[in-house]
Amino acid sequence: MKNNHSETDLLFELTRAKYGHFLNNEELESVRLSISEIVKNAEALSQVTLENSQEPMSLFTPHKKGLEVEYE
Amino acid sequence: MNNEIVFLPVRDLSKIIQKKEMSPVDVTKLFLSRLEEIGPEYNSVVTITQDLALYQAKKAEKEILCGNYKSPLHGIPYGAKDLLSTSGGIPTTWGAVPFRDRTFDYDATVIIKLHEAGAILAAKLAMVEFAGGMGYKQPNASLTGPCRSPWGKENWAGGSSSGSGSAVGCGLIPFAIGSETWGSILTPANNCGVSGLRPTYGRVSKHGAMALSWTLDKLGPLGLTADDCGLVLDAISGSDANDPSSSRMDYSYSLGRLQQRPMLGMLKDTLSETPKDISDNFQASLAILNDFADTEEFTFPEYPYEETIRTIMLGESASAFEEITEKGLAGELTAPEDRYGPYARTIVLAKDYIKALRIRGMITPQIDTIMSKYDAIIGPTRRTPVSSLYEEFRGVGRGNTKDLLGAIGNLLGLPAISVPNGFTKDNLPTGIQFLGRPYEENRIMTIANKYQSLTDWHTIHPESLLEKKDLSGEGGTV
Repeated sequence: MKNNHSETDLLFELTRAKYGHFLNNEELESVRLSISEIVKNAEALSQVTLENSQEPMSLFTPHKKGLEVEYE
Repeated sequence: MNNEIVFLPVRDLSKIIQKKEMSPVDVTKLFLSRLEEIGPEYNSVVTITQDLALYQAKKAEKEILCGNYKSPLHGIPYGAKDLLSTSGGIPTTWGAVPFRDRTFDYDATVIIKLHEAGAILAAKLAMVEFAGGMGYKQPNASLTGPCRSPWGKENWAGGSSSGSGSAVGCGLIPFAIGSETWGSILTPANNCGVSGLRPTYGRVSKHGAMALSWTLDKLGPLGLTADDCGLVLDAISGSDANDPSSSRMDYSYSLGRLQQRPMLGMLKDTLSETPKDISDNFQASLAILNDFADTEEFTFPEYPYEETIRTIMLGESASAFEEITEKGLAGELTAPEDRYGPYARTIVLAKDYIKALRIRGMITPQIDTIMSKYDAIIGPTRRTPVSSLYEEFRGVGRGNTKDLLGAIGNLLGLPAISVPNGFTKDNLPTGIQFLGRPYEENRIMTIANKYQSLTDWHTIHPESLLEKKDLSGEGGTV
């Protein structure tokens, strides 16, 4: 079944359901614009092809008490 | 005498203090009086820490008299961006109305390190609310109002380390600490006509600093010269058990000698869509750099750099500010756009955030390979003129004009320094940036220092901010 709602619309509805009570109509419209920009960002990222093995570049170090000296 | 002191580089001021020609107490009193009198005119200051400053200055005076001279920062007052935690009842506001009176019971590592070096905390400086983390679009986005450039009260100091740039440029403080996630040290340095160093990611501990984006945030100095920035970096760098992202690589500031002509890379079409004044000033800088360096045009591979850094920043800030978002505290912020800014980013998908981190991992070695051919990459610090206080800058800044060096530099945690390189026809400052490979702060500072030794832009200060009354003779020596 074809979904007639854009990704922006769906994500906006989620945002409005969660936070709409903090925002007036004008602010909500600005939120929609921001969401459309975030969706465009994601589309740009999706154009980059990565191998399965290419890991995220983020810091994670297993912790063992007593080995904190590693950082000193 | 006072004008000579107020706009003296840290290195020269420290010699005066070390030789006991002027006491830390008198130096501190001079800057405190300027913070008090001039700070409010420029919206540069949140809190003047007078009692602490005078206590620390007296302590420094005694130590120096006893021959216990700690470092070139001993007895030198400074200001800290108001996202650095300070104990002793001094508020840490993050520039945001909801946190106007909030205090911490500990000091940020940078504050501790500067204390150990003998520096004197004289002020907490103005900043854009939440360091711009809510998506502000115009200068009036701070609990202290729009921060003004020393070069024009109707012009913006830049953000988000606005007060750090403005206070140094106004001669309210010899140096300041700022932070950068994407542009927040280099832009105020540019807009205020001062020097600003964004260190390599992890070079300086972030412990005790407000987090906007954990894998992008950096702390760094702003001062009158590149050399001053190096002296400060020497004091604040180093690993910290409280910040797992802090680097264990040793750092010691030293200006290397240029034994051969450095090779400087310049992005092809770096001046396209750049206003004439900024383009002319950059060309004039190139002519000076050509005295001692070679330049070459190059290109970076095509990737969605800005989209990648933006996705990381939005994803991490959505988590960093979760409590503010969920409690609706954004509604109390100064800038209208910051009141709705945090909500959209809550929908950044985990897969997109992780994709951005993977892209970062893929491009990092590619960019480093390109940069390994150069001692520094150069470009205008900002390709748009200093904006007016009432202008929506997003439309003329990041939104339209590509900030490739800023996006790549911050995405990959690369060091960069901005130094003044002239003025526009409206007498507003412009800057040139030197971008380096990771951990090569000394290399880019050596080149920037050489450039400053051949230019005098860093010695020119707004006439209106020079002391009209000569108070020489009132201060004693130690």
